[in-house]
Amino acid sequence: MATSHWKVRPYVLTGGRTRTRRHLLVHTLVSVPYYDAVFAAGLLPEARTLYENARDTKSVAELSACSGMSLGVTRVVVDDLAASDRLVVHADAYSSPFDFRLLERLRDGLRQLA
Amino acid sequence: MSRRLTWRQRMARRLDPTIAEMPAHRVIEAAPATTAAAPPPPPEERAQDIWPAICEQFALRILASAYQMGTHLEAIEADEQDADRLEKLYRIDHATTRIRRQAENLQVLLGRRVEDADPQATPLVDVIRAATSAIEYYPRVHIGHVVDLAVTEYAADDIIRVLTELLDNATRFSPPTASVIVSAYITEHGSVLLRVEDSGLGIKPDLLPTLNTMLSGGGAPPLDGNPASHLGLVVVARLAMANQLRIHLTNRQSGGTTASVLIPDGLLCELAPAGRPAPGGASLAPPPRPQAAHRQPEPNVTYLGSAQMPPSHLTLINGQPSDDGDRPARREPVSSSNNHSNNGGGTSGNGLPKRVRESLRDAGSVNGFAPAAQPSSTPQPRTSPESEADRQAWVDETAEFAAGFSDFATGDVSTNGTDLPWSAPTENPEGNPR
Repeated sequence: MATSHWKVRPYVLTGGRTRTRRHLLVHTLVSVPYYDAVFAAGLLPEARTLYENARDTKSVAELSACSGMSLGVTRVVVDDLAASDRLVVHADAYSSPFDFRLLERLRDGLRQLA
Repeated sequence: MSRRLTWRQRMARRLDPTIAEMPAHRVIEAAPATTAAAPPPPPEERAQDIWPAICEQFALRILASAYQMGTHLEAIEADEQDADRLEKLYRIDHATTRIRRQAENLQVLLGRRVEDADPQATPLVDVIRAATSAIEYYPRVHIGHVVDLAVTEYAADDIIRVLTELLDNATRFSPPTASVIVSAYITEHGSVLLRVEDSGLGIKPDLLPTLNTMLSGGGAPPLDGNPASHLGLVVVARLAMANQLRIHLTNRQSGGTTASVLIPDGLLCELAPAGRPAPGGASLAPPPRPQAAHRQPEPNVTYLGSAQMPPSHLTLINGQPSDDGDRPARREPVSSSNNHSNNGGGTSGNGLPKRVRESLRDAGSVNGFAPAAQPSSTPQPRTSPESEADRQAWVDETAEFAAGFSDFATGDVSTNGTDLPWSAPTENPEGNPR
């Protein structure tokens, strides 16, 4: 799902960076601690969609899907937002992939498919 | 004698492949003395005529390869999980993008219209970022205030090219640590002013009038020692003429250059509501746009110097209240309500034809097929005054965009198109495989 023009290359969305300060896995859970509408308005479209979607806790992969950015770009964007405390990266989520909440979400997702 | 003949043949072949079969010996026999001194004029003239066509072919081939590379790269980039390899892929992507840009520029200089691979109404933010994608020092470009408008699909690509060259000049001729700020404001006439501000040395004052007349359509590029220094502006001048853009370069008193591009209101249209392209009624809801500021204090030199803002690629500079509290830009969202009304008043006063508040994503690409509301009525006025052949050609052209709809158009002629447009192809046996 590409939301932006095809000539907008992914490296522009991250300023050319690919590395993140913290370890962000596909299933790492992220949420917005307090939603700031003014801040959201100042974000570029993809980042804004991500920020608004993260109001209820979501995984990095989900955020990537709903903001239309690839996983690599999403990681950097999440990391940048987390660095300015706009997003909270839930630490317990990446200690083990067998997180209770993750399994619950997995179960719910499978149920929806069935 | 025979050696010279082969040399000439080779030369002719190099200049013009079409005369490769020319029996060169006959020319030599006709006037042996004069041709030895000077080459015969006819092949040279013909070579001059055909030269742009050859260049265009090369440009097209380069473009085709660049597009191919881009498609493959996109697929790999999306899957890549490793940060190091992704960075290398980004570098390759960046280089490919610049190759594409130069091939497009070559076509522009040859006077050819560059085919847009995917014409679509493009938000100004995306125009800016697409332009940024194709320049060498893209991390130094910062996006300032950008009005929530889009450029129509037939002009978007050209404006991306114009902005690319201006941004390239701005980043190339300013200190390697200084940022370049690009912003877009709506004017009281409903046109949009794009500004590119750098903090470089500026253009030589005696050169500035020449460049500005060139950009406004008069005169050739200035003949000074280095032709490479104005390469981009020649392209800009061509595209400005074609799209009736008004482009002006100014040296600021405080140092640095400002390039301003005035995009006429005819090339602008309203933006589809941000976020998800909502189907149906949600798109009609007024989008929450607290940042639609109309006029604002000019983004001036005071924060040009403060280059390092960590999430600059995420945020519009002016709307960013997060970390740099001392910026004057912080105040802008407050004045949004009355500005918003100003914005609307200016447009209605001019009676612009292009302002549509509906989802452009659906209507823009299919170009004439309204998304859902009145699908059976819209193709009719377009097609009826034209001849059968024209109409068929148009259907063929839009076939890939209106995949399921092309069959409907043919079914419409035989006046059975009373059903919904998407149900018509299913009656048609040819419509089924889609």
